[in-house]
Amino acid sequence: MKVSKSRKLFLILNVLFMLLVCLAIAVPMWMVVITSFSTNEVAAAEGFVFIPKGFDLSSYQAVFSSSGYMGAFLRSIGVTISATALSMVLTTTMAYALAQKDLVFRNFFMNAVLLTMVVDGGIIPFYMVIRQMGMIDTYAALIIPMAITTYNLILMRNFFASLPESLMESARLDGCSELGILCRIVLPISVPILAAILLFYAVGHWNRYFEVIMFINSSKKYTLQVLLRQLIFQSEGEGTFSVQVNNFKMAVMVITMLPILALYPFIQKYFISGLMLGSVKG
Amino acid sequence: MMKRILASILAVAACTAALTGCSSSSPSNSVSTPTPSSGGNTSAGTSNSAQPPSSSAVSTSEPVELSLCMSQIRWGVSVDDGHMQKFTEQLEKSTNTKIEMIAPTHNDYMEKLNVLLASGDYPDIFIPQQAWDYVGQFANRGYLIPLTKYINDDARFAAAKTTDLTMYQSGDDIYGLPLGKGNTKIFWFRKDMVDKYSMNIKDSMTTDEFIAELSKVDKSETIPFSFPKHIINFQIFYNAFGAYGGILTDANGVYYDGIQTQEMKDAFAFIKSLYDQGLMDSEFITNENSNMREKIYTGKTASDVDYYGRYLNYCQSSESVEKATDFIPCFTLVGPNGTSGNLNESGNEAACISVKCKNPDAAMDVLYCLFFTEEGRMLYTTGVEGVHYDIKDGVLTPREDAAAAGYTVNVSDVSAGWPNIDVAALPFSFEGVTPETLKKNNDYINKALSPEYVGPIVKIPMGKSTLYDENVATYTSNLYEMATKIVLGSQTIDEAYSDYEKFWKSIQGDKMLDELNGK
Amino acid sequence: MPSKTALTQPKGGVYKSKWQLFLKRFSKQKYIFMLVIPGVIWFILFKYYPLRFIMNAFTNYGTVAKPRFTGLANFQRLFLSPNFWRAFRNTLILSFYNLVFYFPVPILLALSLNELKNQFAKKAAQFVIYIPHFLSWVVVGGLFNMMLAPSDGIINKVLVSMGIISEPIYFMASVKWFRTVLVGTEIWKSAGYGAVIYIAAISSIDTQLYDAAAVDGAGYWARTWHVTLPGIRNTIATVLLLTLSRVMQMFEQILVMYNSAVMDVSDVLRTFSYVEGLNRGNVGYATAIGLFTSIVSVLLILGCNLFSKKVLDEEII
Repeated sequence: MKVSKSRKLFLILNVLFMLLVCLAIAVPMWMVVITSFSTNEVAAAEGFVFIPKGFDLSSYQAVFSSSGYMGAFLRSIGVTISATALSMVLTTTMAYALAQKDLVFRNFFMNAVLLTMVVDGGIIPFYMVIRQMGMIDTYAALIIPMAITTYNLILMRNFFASLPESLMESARLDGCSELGILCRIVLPISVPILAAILLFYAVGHWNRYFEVIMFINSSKKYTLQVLLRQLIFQSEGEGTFSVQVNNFKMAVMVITMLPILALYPFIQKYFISGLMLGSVKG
Repeated sequence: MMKRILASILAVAACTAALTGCSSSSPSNSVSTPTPSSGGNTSAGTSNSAQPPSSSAVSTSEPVELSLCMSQIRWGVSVDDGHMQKFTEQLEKSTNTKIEMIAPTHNDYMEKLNVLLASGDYPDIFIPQQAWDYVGQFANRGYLIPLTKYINDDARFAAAKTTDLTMYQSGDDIYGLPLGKGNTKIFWFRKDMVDKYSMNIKDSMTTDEFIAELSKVDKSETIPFSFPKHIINFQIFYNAFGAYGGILTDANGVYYDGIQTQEMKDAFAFIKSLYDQGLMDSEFITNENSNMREKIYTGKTASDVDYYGRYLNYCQSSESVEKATDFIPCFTLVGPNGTSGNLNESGNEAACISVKCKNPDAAMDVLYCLFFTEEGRMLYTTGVEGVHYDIKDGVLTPREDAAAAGYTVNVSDVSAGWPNIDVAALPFSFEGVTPETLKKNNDYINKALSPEYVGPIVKIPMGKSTLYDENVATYTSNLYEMATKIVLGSQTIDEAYSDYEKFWKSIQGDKMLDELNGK
Repeated sequence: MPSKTALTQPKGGVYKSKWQLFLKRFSKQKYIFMLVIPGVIWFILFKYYPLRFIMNAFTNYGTVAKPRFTGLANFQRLFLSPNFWRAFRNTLILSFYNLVFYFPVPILLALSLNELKNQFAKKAAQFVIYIPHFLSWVVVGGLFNMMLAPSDGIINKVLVSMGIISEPIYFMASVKWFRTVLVGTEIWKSAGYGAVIYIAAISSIDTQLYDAAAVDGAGYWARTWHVTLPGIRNTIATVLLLTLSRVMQMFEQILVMYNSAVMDVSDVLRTFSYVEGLNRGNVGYATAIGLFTSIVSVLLILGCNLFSKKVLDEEII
């Protein structure tokens, strides 16, 4: 096919636009990364460093040699993996069921679910419920009560609802069970959306700090985000407590970001067009 | 068929998983708080309560279980959980207790505490921030036991009586135990700038001198004076004019509005002229404390406002960015009418004991150990030897992993508590601290806390006027906005005051004053 | 459940109760129903059970030892508070700005990424725009505070040297600019992450549709307009609704970035209730503010749903 001139121009402009966007993001990110590699003197003098002056790995060294950070790091990973697994199971099953057009009480369920997005009792009643269940100061409090995010549930449910019904009907006629339909037919053609939701859940669980602070009391169960938050705010320490220099804070920040950033390329693999095509044909 | 069974199993499994959560709740329902105290100690507790022990006598009995809620950086400064455990163990050993640790992050401390209190999970011991405000409120809400008898009768806490205890009073009882000598903010000047521009900095300066000395600084090179974004700090200028940003009492004990006074207008005019002449950092409104400190370490600014205990920290930090210099304090400004005073932030922290505490005596022992003994104070401010620091060649050296977890020793903090710890007499010294700077530091602390320089602090008792209790937050934030608008020049003083009149009406200000005055 | 046997119209001469019909329908889909049960239990336990606490909006819970019912006193106090209406107005304005300026950006980014032909560049760009989401607001606030500073901030320097502005602007303290700063930093931080869901949705579009459109002689624009956009229309509508329900909740960003010079344009309901409510332990009052916010959000969403039904022909609820 011939590529028209206007199309070429558009493609060039598009690339330029993307470059500009990436640059706008890269410049501040560059400052974060360069600061984390700066020496104490430079970081203390400039806050965020733009032009690298000297190269120093001591911040990273300090973090990796600290058993406290590494412990919190492992706890974060453990909580994130288990919570994401539970989230995916609960969300997928519920979203699939709610996507069935003739489900009894469907509208009631949907409205009830939607309502929870805006009506919220606040942190205090949530705390009381979790205490009643004996989950305060346990990892369960970071996994079970956080299992479903209404946002993700609705996204997934609406995606399932948009799938052609003929697919499922034919499977039902073939005598396939509901769980079978879900696992064999619906999930394979929903891989991109599943990947996205998985990512959302993992990121959500990884970044969580407020609930951790509220539901966990003892420091030995804190996750990495809590330590990071403490460090970052410490510089504002009123009165007597002293200041951590930015290079160290940024190093912890970068280390906190890395695992979840590393997840993205794996997820990205599943954003490929054409999956639907195969399943419809087959 | 298999699939159907699988589906059912999955559903049932998920249900039971959810239900086990519920079923396990029933036993914990009966226990309203997770603060059980072992039976053996209650007897010890009652025998103690008759006569407070004169020393934290460590008996051979079972350790008392106590829950202690302090912000994360107070468990030995390091946020590493291993270090915090060691700190707790040390504390447990010294007080024969079993401490249940509640350690929310510093920034979220009050939120966590409020959630705990509102949901009925009172920790045995906790240390609210802005204690002058909260202790009274918490007492009114029935969360606290009175500490009057301990403070009045127990010689161990005699030092607490040297502070203004009315801040923690509700009715006739005192509910908060102050934890240190108090805290004030003063002016700090870089010595190199003072020399370069031949400024004349004295312990107390008149407002005119202040402007005259700052005017000597070359504004194109250096910001003469920097300031943090928190407008509450303007009080340091208000004091020079005898003004107060809030409701206060006159000589006859009658409450009046400190904003609607000529003194306040003069104070606003003074700050505005500082700003208009370019003497005050033109970007102060976005200065976090850390930004401001950065500016003074690095010599971008010649002076700022900060805590009295910052001296050693300033010297060390300026050295670490290779702009080493000495720092000179100015403890107060004196206004045209001779009024003065620095920024008094005393009473920010006080310890409280909740009504659910089974053994208040043991709780008081813990507080005594941490805040009234040399051993406890050293533990609280420097941590545990071999965990947080090592003594190398007689110098206290932070261990690498502790430093990575935020641990640093603030020497001023060591000496600012009770009892008076003579840092120079300690068997070890601190990195970067010379006997000379130490002496200066002590000198500055004493001066900053001396009555001649300390500014006023006004505390309105809670529960006196509903209107006041409900509107105080709005009132304060309105004052901050008004002051900002005047200083930045988006409103003239007259415009701001005519707006303020409307605001005063909207919060029923006159009725509020009447309520406070008991009319 | 009562087995009420209200009779329906006779059909084909057979009388069947609604209840029997329901049972039949139910038994047919009992396995589907089992899938929904764990989720429903979760929602009851963690979303609805705590809601009984909302009654505290009508008490003075938190301020006194023995809370009692105070009727609408909390709401009266709320509506009389001069700063409340300002916070309410700011919430609506900032929500509107976010909807108008932030909401389309992730879609644009996803469409633009879709047009990148080099697979490596595409993936790299996707990755880069996704990163800022992981910086906490405190760090983002610090970064932008520095970059926007009038004296030595890089943004002012660039704008002045390019001649776009003659004098440096104090963005963070300017009533005129501060909302722009808020929306801008929100876009900077979250738009790339927000694009992920559209990237996923675009990749689920049947490629046959593109081929068919190409055969029909549709140009690139036409294909974007007739295939890509309709393909993600469902996602756009959903995200719009979900965004709406969350814009009222703006909080941390503002708490970190605002100062008393720009309170007039940036104090929102959540910051207002934070200062007045939870921060001071006044639980009843804070709950009342939360309840009010919820009601406004519900109205917003219903309005949005109506709009979506009329304009996009897509009912979300």
